Order: sequence, then structure tokens, then C-alpha cells
Amino acid sequence: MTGRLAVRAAAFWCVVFSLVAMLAAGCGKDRNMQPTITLAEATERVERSLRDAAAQLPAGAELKREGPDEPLPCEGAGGMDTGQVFMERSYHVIHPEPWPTDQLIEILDRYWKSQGFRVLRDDRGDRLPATLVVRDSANQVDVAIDLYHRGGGSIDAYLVADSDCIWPDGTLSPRS
Amino acid sequence: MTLTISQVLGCDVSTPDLAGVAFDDLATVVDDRADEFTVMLRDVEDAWEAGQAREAALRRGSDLRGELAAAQPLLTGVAQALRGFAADSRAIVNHLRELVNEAEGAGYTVTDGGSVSVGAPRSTAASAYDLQRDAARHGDQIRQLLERADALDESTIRKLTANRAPNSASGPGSGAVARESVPRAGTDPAKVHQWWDSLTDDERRYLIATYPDLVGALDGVPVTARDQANRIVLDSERDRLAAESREMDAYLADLRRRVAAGEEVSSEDLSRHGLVEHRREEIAGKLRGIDQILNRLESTDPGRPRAYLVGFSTADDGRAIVAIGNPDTADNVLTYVPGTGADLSHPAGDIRRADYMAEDANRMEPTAQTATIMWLGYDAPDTLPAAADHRYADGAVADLNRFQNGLRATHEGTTASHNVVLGHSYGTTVIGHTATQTGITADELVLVASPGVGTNDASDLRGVSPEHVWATRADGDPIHWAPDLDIAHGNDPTRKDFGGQTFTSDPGDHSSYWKENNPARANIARIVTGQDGEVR
Repeated sequence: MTGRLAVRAAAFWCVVFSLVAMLAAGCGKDRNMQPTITLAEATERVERSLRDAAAQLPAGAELKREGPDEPLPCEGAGGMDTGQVFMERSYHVIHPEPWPTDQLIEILDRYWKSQGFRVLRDDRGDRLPATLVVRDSANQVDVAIDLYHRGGGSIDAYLVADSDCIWPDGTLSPRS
Repeated sequence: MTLTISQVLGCDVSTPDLAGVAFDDLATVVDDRADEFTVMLRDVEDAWEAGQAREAALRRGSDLRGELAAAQPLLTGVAQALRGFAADSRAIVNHLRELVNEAEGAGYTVTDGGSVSVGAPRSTAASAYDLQRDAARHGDQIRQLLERADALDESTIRKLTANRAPNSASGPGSGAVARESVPRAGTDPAKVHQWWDSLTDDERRYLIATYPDLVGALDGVPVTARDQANRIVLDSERDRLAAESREMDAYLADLRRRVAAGEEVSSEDLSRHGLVEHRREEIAGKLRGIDQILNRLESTDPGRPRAYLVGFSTADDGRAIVAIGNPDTADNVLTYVPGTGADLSHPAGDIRRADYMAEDANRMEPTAQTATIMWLGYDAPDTLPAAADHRYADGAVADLNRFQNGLRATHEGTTASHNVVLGHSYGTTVIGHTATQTGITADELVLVASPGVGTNDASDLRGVSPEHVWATRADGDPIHWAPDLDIAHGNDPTRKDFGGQTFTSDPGDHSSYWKENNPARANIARIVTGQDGEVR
């Protein structure tokens, strides 16, 4: 590519990227600028979803918190940081042996459907992991059960929930 | 071999983990006290004007401060050894438990020493020969794991011993190494590693304490040493920037007072005012980023892998390389290259992504250890229009290439780790330019939400064959709005004619790949743990 052609291509591409940025900002305006629940409220909703799911499990199980504790970033067009985040919480289901781990997806499927939750993904036929993800629209939370089938026939079960993207303080504010 | 199955399975890994956390805490406290000591010495210097006693007090104070400062990397080294032992032990215990369960589930007898035998006759279609061969295979696997546990014991002893106070009998300055003998930045990591291996423990400690900026930035120096050095660099940079910020605050306050009092303000003052405001904002951003890095480095949750500061600089827009877990001892290593907008003023989100990807991989494959690295070792575009420019990617090529070579050079043990480089958005362009221009030392490349990688053909990516180049783009991601024309960064690498592999991600925005309900996360964990056949 000659130097002049390269400059033209770069200029054209720069204009295209600028348009994408403007379009993304414009199209996402309503959604991105609206007030949201706060991070504390999102965390509480995520925790409540997990507690409700755990209450449906057969007796004898305990939940052990695992994984990071901080929210993840939500980005706008092209990877620009919007300041919004989503909260994820994850619990390892610790249980006595024997325990009907392999029935957890069926149990939670029934419960979540009875609550009117929408199934987002049903990969219960997989082994690493077998997964059921549902949408709790009222609380704007996605909640999942993951079953990891290990060697020797054991299964590790995890309950995981994510919030939607929110402003940590509920509204657009300078980054703290 | 001395360790038995019951000894390994009975190992409570939370105890060394907690002890390691305590040593990391102690290192922080000692460092804070050393800082306070510096302030106190300055006060003494100001208040006590002259005299031989003043000189003696300052000399003694300075020595004490030096001793405190020298203790910090040693304490950090002990924390690294203990938490590294816990992380490695956890993978060994999980793997051993799985192997024993498998063997016993198949009906074999497993002794505490690791031997596996067929035992009592069973009704099975397999011949006695096949059963014996299968039992021997189980036994070999278990014995190899017990040997690994033994080796871990020995290497931990060596690491703990290396982090002792300098030998006082050798006198002050023992282990001194000339600054000129340190390899220059950009030296081949394999050569750097040879040089590091040739040093004594005293010399290494001296270098870390005396030239932390040189040691911390050198690819080919082991991650634990770079972590010790970069923590010192980060601490001194934080102090320097905070002091500069205080000076600027004082200047601006004085300027405001003069304006309010109606005093004459020169045009020079007015033009300097704008520069000072700009610089103050820049420093505030870097200090905020440093706090976010420290927040992860000083995490006291023993359930989380220890974080290592593999690279750090406040020059220009700043650089930060943070590892979750120790890449030098891990079985799988993921280098995550963030994209547009990433900089030192807000690294927390990208560090958390590295954290979550480590958690996903370790959950997917608990019998192996995965470390992830947030590699902000380049100047990323600040804005979306700037992301049209390939010069940011070109500027990263040599550094990313050398960093990946460094990981190979410093990895411990006889088996190479499974190394994956994952880019998000413009980070994929960085990977593409590196792979096409210099080649990249990796087993797999993962391109998430790519605007193009500088080539339209996966076979141009040197160092990784097309069947190990993975790409995904979510429906709904605004990256789709960039026209798929063969200019600027090239075509969408999820296109069939690109020639790589693709994996599924659910519809969503530009950051939705990291949501738990998105199959992209499980797919990334499968690639990282070498389960390519399971990727959907």
C-alpha cells in the first residue's frame, strides 16, 4: 500500500470508528444513562436468588463461597469503560455422601419454572459442566447450577448468579 | 519416595495458605513502618539542626530504616513460598484423590505407598493380563504424583531458605552486584534467565533491593523475584506521586489565595496553572490505579490465588502486569491482553477478568493449576477513533513477544506449561500484529470481539497453527458495526475464510463474554485447560 493510500485508509477507518462510537453511544443512550439499582442492591438480589435456590436442595448441603468477590466491568462500544459493572457470586455446594447431586438440575428446573423464570440455557447433557441457566426478570438476575463430573464418578456442584449491568451508585457518577 | 497417599490426602492446604497470607500482611506492615521511619527521620533532620549527636542519630536511624526496607522482600518471598506450596498441593491432592477413586472404583487394591494391584478375582470380561496392565498404569500415575509431592516439599524448603537475612559474617554489602552487570532491557529472556541462574541468593537479594526497577522489568527473571522487585517499585512510585500531588495542591491553593486576595497573578502563573491541573489529574488517575492493584495484591482471602506483580511502571500512560497465581509453577498459563481504554488509571476490571478466568479454569480442571496474567504491558488506544490506528499494536509487538518467551524461560519443572494468549477487542489486534511480525510463543490464541488482527489468514499467525487459533463475536456486540472490509485491521477472524476455529458466545454487548451465563466463559476455560475437543 502506498503511503498516500495508507493515510487515506487510516483516515477512512478513523471516521468509521468515530461513527461507530457515536452510534453506540446514541443507541445505547436510554439504556446506559438510566438510573439503576446500586451495587449493594444488586449484590443482595444475587445473594437472595442463590439462597432461594439453595433452600430447594436436598437436606445436608452447605454453601461455601468461592471465587472473586468484586464486580466485573461492563463496557460500551469498542471496549470503552462505561463505569457500569455487574456482580457475580458463586457457591460450591458441599454435601455429605451419598447425596443426590445428579438430581440437582431437575430439582432446580422444577423450582425455577414454578417461579416463572425463563430458561436461558439448558446444557444438562454436558459433563464439564452440565448447566442450567435461568432468568429471574423481576430481580434482573441470571442464576445457574453447574455440575462438574469428575473421575471416579464424583460431581462438584456450584450455584452461580449474575446481576445485570448497573451503576455502582445507582446513577452515572465520576469514577470513584 | 517418602510421602504416602494418606499423608498427601491428609494435607490441610489452608494452613500454609493462611501462614502465607500472614507473611504478606507482615511485609505490608513492615513496609508501612519503613515509610513512617523515613518521615520521622526527615522531621528529626529538620528539628535538630547541628551537632555530632544529630549526625550519629541520623546515621543510626538510616541504618534501621534500611534494615526494615530490606526485610520486606524477604517476607514477601516467604509468603510466595508458602502460598505457592498451598496452590501446588491443592492441585496434587485433587488429582491424587481422583486417581485413587478411579482405581478403587475399578475394583483394584491401592496401598498407602501407591502400589495398585488387581486383588481378589472378579467377574469381568477383561483378561488377567489386561487387568494387571491397567492396575500397573494406575499405580504409575499415583507414584508419579507422590514423587511430585516429594519434589514440591524439597523445592519449598529451598525457596524458604533462599529468603533468609543476609549472612552477617560476610559483612555489609555482601552479594553486591554492579548495576552494569544487569542485562539491558530487551535482552533475550533465555539469556537473562541464564544470568539469573548464575547468581547466588545473596546477589539476587541485593539486586532486588538495590535495583528493583531493573529486575522487575526484565523478562527472563523468575516471577517471584519480579514480584518482590515490582512491589518495591510500586511502593516508591506511590510515595513519589503522592508527594508531587501534595506539592501541586499547595501551589494551586496558594494561587487561589492570591487571586481571592486580589494580588497580581502573572501570565506565567496562569499558563502553569493549566499544566499543573492536567498533571494533577494524571497523577490522581495513576494513584487510583495503584490503589486498585494494591487492593488485589494485598487480598487476604486465602481461598483466592496469590497475585504477583510481574511488571509495573508509571512512565507515559503506565504499565501493569498482574498474575493471578504463579505462572512459573502453573500447568496452564493464560495471558490476557485488554483492549481500547485500558490504562493504569483503572486496571481493576481487567484484573478481575483475569481472576474470574483463573477461577473458571481451576474449577474446570482442579487437578491442574492455572495461572492467568493481566498484561497491560503496552500503551492501549485511549479512544475508539484511536483504535483505528495500528501503531498501538505495533508498539506492543516486541514487548508481548519477549514476555511470552520469558514465560517459557522461567517456567519450573521439566514439563512446559500450556500457554494461551487471549485478547479482547484491540487486544486481539495486538496479538495478531505480534504473531505476524515476530511470531508468538503460545500453544493457543483466543480472539474475543476482534476488530481484526492485521491479517485475513490464520496461517499468517506465526507460532500457533490455525487449529489452535480461536475466535468469537457475540451477536449484538457493537464490534459488528465496524465494516468487515479488508482495510485497517483486516477482516473479522470468525469468518470461515480466516481459517481458524470459532466458539460460541451468547448474544450480548462488548463485555458480555464474561457473564456467567455466557458459554464463552466455559469455552475459554476449556481452551485454557487444554480441552479443545470439548469447545463448542
